Amino acid sequence: MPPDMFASGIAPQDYWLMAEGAWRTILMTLSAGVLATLLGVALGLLKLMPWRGLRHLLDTVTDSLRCVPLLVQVTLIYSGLAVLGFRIGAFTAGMVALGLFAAGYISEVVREAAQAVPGNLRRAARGLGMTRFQEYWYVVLPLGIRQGFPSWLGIILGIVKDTSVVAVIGYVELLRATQNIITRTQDPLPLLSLAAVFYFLICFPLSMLGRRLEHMMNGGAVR
Amino acid sequence: MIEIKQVRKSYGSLEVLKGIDLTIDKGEVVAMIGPSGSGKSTLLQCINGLETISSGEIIVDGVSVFDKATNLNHLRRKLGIVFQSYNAFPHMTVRRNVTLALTKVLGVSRDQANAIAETQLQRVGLLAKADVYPTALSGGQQQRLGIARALAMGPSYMLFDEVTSALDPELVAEVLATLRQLSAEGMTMILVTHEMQFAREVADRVVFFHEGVIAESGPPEQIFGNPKSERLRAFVSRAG
Amino acid sequence: MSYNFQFGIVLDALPDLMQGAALSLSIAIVTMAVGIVLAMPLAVGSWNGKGLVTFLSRSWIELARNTPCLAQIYFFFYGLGAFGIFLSPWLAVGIALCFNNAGYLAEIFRGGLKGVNANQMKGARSLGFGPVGAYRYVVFPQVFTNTFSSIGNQFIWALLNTSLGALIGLYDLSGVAMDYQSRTFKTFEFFLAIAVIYFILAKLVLFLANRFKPGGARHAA
Ligand SMILES: Nc1ncnc2c1ncn2[C@@H]1O[C@H](COP(=O)(O)OP(=O)(O)OP(=O)(O)O)[C@@H](O)[C@H]1O
Ligand SMILES: [Mg+2]
Repeated sequence: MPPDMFASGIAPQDYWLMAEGAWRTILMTLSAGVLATLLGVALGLLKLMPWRGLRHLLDTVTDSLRCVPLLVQVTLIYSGLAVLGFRIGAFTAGMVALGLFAAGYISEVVREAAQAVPGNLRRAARGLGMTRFQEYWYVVLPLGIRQGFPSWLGIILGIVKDTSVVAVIGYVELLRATQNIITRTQDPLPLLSLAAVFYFLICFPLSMLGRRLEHMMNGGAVR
Repeated sequence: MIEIKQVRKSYGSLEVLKGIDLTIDKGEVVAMIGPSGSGKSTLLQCINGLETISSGEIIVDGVSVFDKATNLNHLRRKLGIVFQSYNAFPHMTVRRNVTLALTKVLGVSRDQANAIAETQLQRVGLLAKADVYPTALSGGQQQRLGIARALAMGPSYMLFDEVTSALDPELVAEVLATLRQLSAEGMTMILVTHEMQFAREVADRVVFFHEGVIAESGPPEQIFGNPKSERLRAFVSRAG
Repeated sequence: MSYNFQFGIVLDALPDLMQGAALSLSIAIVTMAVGIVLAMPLAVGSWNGKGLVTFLSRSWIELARNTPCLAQIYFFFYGLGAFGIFLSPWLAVGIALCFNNAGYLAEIFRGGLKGVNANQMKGARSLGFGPVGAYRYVVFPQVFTNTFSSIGNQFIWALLNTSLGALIGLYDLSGVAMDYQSRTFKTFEFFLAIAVIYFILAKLVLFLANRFKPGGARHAA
């Protein structure tokens, strides 16, 4: 332990600032996660509809989102909306950017999950006299959710980590809060480690869960 | 000379080899027969250290295979093995399959390796296929590639594990022809086989495996003509 | 709407932006190359290593995958200061991305290793290859083929992640844009321009990846 560990100037209220940042990270994740899920499912279902033009359009859009850094997207949305005359806060802009970014991925998960439902099951549903809506509601949805859940979880974990990027437009989430304190105290290691532990404690268990579920679905036993 | 002494081997609680004693002399052709699961493949892979043993000893030309001081990579060059399931390297051409270990393990020059590969591919009748990828080969051709690949290393012993079992009858003949030729050249060989007729024809000695032990062994005439145990008699008559 | 779009400024800045783009792409290429080299032993170690090796490689993989890339960059830029090591932005970003890429690629390779038949390993060992030679000449070439598209995706991630370097003063594509926006306040114009440039770079990478995709059954000429 370096001798100046306690002389470094990390005050108790700094930990409080970090806790606040952590809370904002969670808040941002939840809001963007909900937005991304709703939007992603809607987009995914639209991509499954037999409308070719629409599908190509949506594919192009979601595909383009993957080719541009989130940092750039966040900045573009924040400044773009300002240019258009909308005065929105950093939180909203970050939520929209993160939500859009993740929605593109979720729409792919939805499409793949639905397509993984065996065709004969779907035909069987129609054969029983179900409508197209009922086919989706009673057959594709329950099976698809099981199929797509691990991937969806992975995307949500991506959001947890990506919230750090929203700092670029001034949203003080955990990492930005940490960095602010570091700038003042000049004692980066303990604070950065603390922040890393926070992310890790959220992401690691969930990613293990996702892996386990995936393993189970691939016919393996739970280890 | 390969000496197998009191070899035991378990997979977890399952004892697969229960004390095997067997000596193979230089120039000898030994055929191993026996029901499925009796431990033939396992023993073969223990001989060149691809599988470990629980107790006992295997000695190849005076070198103990499982001695810590033994350089297994070195020893394996002496022991060519052709597997039950063909395992050509799918990402390289037939020729490269043969030259890879020559250049990377033995340090042979590219040209020399190519010359060796051509000789061996010629021997197994695959020279025309030298520049295709293994996926374009039939099962029998892949098996012969495995033989050429092992022979190219200039081994003193060849271990064959049911090299014909996964093949259609018409392909069996071409692989057996290669083995017959090798035996005529005086190669020391251990053949695990289900081809009784073939074992009878090429083997100097036949070893009958049953549930992890050598239940009976002797010259082919004795094993096939005058089996002592009831188990062997049943096995031979069933195998036809 | 009274906003006055000024894309002329962006055009004037184009040479600088191009230089930034070149830096971004170079960092992505180098960190991917190093990442692939590091990921191979990591994948093997975490897959069938023993004791400490497994623990260390798993730790690397899980830390890389379960903390933000930006936190990793901060660690190498600010964090190492605690040990008296002060890295320049590009070195910090480079090392962080090598760490990050290696973790993600190792996880990809782990999946690929499972897909290569155990007989391939035995085949190589039977010819006298040691474990390193067997992985190098026989197993990993097949893993690369099987995981090619995932490696391509990771390349895109690496490229996009270089943009985070701008936050510690790296003069990459995003860094150049940030520099210009702080002087001209034309944030939207500059970021729209670099969005297009990133898009083109990413598509170029995907195009090249598709072009050189290893086929299933190949035949030599
Ligand atoms: N890696 C392994 N793990 C666990 N058990 C194994 C393993 N390999 C083989 N066994 C078991 O060991 C026993 C002997 O297998 P082996 O492959 O040696 O038999 P074999 O005589 O070659 O049979 P076959 O004629 O079917 O090839 C079998 O019961 C098999 O299930
Ligand atoms: Mg066998």
